[in-house]
Amino acid sequence: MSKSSNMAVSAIHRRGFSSRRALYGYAWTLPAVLCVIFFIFYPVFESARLSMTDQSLLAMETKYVGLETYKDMLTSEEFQVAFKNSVIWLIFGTLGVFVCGFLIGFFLHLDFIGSRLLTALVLLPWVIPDFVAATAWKWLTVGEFGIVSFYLEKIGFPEPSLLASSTYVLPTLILLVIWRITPLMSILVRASLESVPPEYYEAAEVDGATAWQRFIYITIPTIRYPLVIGTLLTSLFVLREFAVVWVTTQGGPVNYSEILPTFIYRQGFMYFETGPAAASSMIYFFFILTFALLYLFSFRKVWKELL
Amino acid sequence: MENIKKNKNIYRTFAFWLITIVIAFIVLFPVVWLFAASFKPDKETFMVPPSFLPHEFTFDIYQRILEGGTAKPAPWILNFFNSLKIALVTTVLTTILSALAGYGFARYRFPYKFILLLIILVGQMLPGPALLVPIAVLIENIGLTNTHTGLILLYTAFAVPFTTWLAIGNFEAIPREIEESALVDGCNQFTAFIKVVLPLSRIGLITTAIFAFLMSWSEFPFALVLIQTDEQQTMPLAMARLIREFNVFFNEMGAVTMLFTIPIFLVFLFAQKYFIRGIAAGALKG
Repeated sequence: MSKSSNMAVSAIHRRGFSSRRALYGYAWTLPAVLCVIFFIFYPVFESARLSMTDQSLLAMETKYVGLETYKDMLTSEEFQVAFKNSVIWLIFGTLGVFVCGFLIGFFLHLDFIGSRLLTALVLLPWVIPDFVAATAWKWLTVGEFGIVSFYLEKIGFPEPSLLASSTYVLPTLILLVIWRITPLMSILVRASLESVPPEYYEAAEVDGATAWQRFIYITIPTIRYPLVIGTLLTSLFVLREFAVVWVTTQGGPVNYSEILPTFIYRQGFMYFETGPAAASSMIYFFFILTFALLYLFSFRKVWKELL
Repeated sequence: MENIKKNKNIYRTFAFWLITIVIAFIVLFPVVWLFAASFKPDKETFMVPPSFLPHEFTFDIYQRILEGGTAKPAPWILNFFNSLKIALVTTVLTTILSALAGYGFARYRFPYKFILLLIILVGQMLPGPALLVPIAVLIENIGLTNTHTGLILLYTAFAVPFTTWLAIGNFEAIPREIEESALVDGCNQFTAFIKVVLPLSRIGLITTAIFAFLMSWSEFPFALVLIQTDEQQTMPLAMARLIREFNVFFNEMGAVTMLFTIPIFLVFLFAQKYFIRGIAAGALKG
């Protein structure tokens, strides 16, 4: 093959938008994009429309009420509890996953006998489905039949049935989420540590850098991009959890473990209040998008250089 | 001097083993507790003090499950194959759609490409459970309530953003020159994609497929809302119904979970490498 023909083809690639190539571009990408628009974005718009109404499947009429439903939701005590719990859920879940994931990932990176086996084991909580994990945890703490609650009671712990206790239910569920999502972060940290070129360390060692200095000045800056993106991914996974709460407590006792996804489900499918459910969904999206954008904005220095 | 060094090594080895055991314990404890229960007879699940490993080892529960399970209209095997069918079709659809889109995004420039990419990115951020109401209405309107087709379409749509993101990274890693030479040799863009690019990106494709399979295999909220009859239930749904009854036999739950987890472990055994690579790629290439 001649060099000139190669260059000719490359030249086509470099030329701006030719209408034929643009059409090809759409042909490749539109099937997936349309699928996403139809099944994800259309429901979002439908949500937005529903949220402006007082629709309830139990009432005969539906009328347009503007932002009234939003006001009702934001001032309702149940919504505020669910929202507050979701914020706690997000902050402590993500922080917990970050800390545990970083420590375990770093440990897995140190090459020792059994590190490969441990890597495979560590993935287990993430590989099993969330509601299976939730079932196991639920039965660990169910009164005197649960092995954890039984021994907690033995040592004099005040409320051994953790998931039935108003004080401990949310922390326990957050621990469960941390337990479940940490594998993702550990594998990510381990993989990114492996991508740090060993020459960096060798050079620093020659210059007399201590292990701590090498960690602060070489390791952290080199893996900061995967750390930033990995933490965002983690937070999105944390915010998506529904089954963990639904199969263990359904938001209870009372609403001490209610988070927004379970609140929305309850409004929509148990009370059949579709208008309020849609308004809550919209507030939740707004919350997630604001959080994600603020997060990306505050770390713009890290990811901008990759664009 | 020699002695001190030797001692230091022993401490180091000891510390590593200790940390390994602690991590393995935390990770395994709840899982082993559940699986161990599947070999306990009914009375032992309600024993005080609770046993961790079965005192009396039995396979009765597995037999019970194969015969249909306690107070359950549809047999577990039916739920199992419902789930398997849905997960496999979703995997194929997702892999095809995201391979096409990933390639298109990696290789073509076209007007509004940025907007299409943004749709994919935001699509990944929106949590499915919060969209349950309008999605239930949408599926009802297109007449797919209580069908597996409805679930397959939804699972595909919700898997596609993440897998497309993986696919873009994969295709960008393949040098353009390779397919350019195929183009010069008389292939068109599509045959070049099929014959040259796809074989080169098979690791990426397998990663995509694994993710799609795992996502749809254990999905719960959509199935909860859309499936109404016992015969149509997927495994997660049937299992969750079992948990919500107060007088559930935990051993039966453990056994069903075992059955449910077999395909995941098979995937995991054969593809651990791709799995880890996939997670890493998802964040490293972003």
